[in-house]
Amino acid sequence: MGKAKANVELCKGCRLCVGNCPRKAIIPLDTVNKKGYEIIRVDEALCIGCGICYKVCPDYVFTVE
Amino acid sequence: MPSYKKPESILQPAGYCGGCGHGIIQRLIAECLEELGVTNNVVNVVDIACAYWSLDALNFDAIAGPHGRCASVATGVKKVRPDSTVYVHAGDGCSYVIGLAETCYTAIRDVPITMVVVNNGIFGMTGGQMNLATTLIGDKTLSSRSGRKRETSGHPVDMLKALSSFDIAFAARGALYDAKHIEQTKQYIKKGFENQLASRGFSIIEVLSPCPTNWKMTPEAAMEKIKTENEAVFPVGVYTDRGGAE
Amino acid sequence: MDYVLMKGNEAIAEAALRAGCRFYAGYPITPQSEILEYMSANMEKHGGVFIQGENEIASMSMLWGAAAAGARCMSSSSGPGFDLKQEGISYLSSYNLPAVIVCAMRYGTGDGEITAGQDSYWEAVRGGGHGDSRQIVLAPASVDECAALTYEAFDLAEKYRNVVLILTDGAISQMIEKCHLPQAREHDINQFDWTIGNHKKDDPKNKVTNLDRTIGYEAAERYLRNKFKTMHDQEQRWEEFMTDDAELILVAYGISSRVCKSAVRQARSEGLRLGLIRPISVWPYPEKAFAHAPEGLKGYVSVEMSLSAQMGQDILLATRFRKPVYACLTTLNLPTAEGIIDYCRGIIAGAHQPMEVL
Repeated sequence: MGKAKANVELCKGCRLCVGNCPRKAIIPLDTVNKKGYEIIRVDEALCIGCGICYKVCPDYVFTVE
Repeated sequence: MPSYKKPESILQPAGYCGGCGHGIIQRLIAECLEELGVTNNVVNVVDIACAYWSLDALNFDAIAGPHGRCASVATGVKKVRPDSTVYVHAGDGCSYVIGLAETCYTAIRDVPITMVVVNNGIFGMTGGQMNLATTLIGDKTLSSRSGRKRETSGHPVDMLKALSSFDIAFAARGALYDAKHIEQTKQYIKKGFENQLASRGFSIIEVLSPCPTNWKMTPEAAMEKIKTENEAVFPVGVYTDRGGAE
Repeated sequence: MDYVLMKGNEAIAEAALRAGCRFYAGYPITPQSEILEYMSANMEKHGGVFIQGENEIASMSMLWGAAAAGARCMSSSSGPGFDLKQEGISYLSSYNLPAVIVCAMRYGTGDGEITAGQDSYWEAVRGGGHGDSRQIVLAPASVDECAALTYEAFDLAEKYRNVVLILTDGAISQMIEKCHLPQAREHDINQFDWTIGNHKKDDPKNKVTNLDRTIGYEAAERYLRNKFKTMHDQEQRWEEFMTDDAELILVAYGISSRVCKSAVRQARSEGLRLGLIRPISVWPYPEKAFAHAPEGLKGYVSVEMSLSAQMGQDILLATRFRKPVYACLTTLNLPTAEGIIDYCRGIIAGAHQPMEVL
């Protein structure tokens, strides 16, 4: 089963993925990326690879393969 | 299992503010063109406003229309290059306010282009002023500080109703507030491109999209506002679909 | 070569078609509407596109889409319509795109009069919207020249990737006289590497936008300065008529220059030695024609159909204020040979002051 992979350097901290993930598998973090945005982490144990994070993300952070 | 990967036609990170819908729209356009297999012959007409960021971001020939005139620029390109897939990516200020005449007459001429209009209810690039066509009554902007009033600024207008009264190929409105509506929006955009490839006439797809920066909201709250407030004034769905032979 | 009898406006349109112009968008306004009408009747026969726009601004926007896609394209207008063209000219300039725009001048600000005039001069030679754009401006003085200059304008536009204006007026545009038509030719929309929509071209894709965004501010400034200087130095055109021994040199373009020519002949038969410099390019202004004034020259006389001495200011600049410049301004009336001669006699008698710069 595919899992979502996140390129957090593209993240702008909008959190849309967090609220839209049906399995609460995306964890918001306080950590910032090089651009200074607070990033997220995918909990692979919870992820079902549904692709919703990919669809709602305006910044092309996610890949599901 | 389906896989999900950024379209190859997107060359650069999205240049928009965090949580802005333009990045999603730009991706949907690229996905549709890749799925239709026409990426080698596309002309992207962007407005001089937030959509301008898609000019360099996408691996398509592109031209920046001046503010408001994108439909006319696209007409010029399409008439000279009828084999190219010509689309407009522009905002509601461009398409419905300063460039309303250009949008309407491109529709009336039924020029076979695909026009994607971002309805975010505000002038984003200039910092958040009222949009006469799409700012809701009561919404606070930099030029309607105590909320838009009907008495002084009129009311927001469902331009797709007006455009549907012309004989055009396709008009539909999508929204971006959840994955289901994003997928529906993509299908509308794809339909718009399919119409163009079949020379069926003018297609317009309006997208209810958030501008968290200028709405002064979190991206999540902005999506919620679209769902609970904007969609009530601007219903999603197909407004006109002339169909036509495959 | 055979000639035909044509209106100035029709000669412009026919010459454009023969130059390979295959895209026209415009909006009706007197006294240029025959250009639009001619294009509507004949463009399709050539496989081109004619669009009657919803307004001038939309027409110009279509035009630069077409120009970016590689077509030879043209639009035309007059007076208040030409005001609305400025946005488009400005964008064409900032995008470094070639196009030919015709302005058939009328007289008067606002709506003005639909008859002949020459008061859009400043807008044509200094205009092109806000910013520092420069356009080559060619001013025909006959129907024959309407055809010849329009035909050549497309080559100049592409040579410099610049807007070329044809500045005519209600009289030249409406006049019917004999005209030699140039040979028809086709233009290949794929001949340049900067166009959009040419899918046979390899990557990278072309982006048509402000030049400074595609090549950077410093490079764009260098490029544009060099282009304007080259156009200025290379493209000055004028006709001189009996200037060698002149006491006064009339300076006039377009319809006024025709009257001036007969005034020169008539004055000389009466013993008054007038000459004529007729600018054919009004930008670049033919400064070279003013480099050497004949001995005994008392001054230059700008003959214009305007309220202010518009071109007169360019004469002052061209002569570096070395000689007095007088202005014989006839506003909405065509100048007459007698009127011009009277004015010149007045200058010699000390009855007229040199023009003021307002």
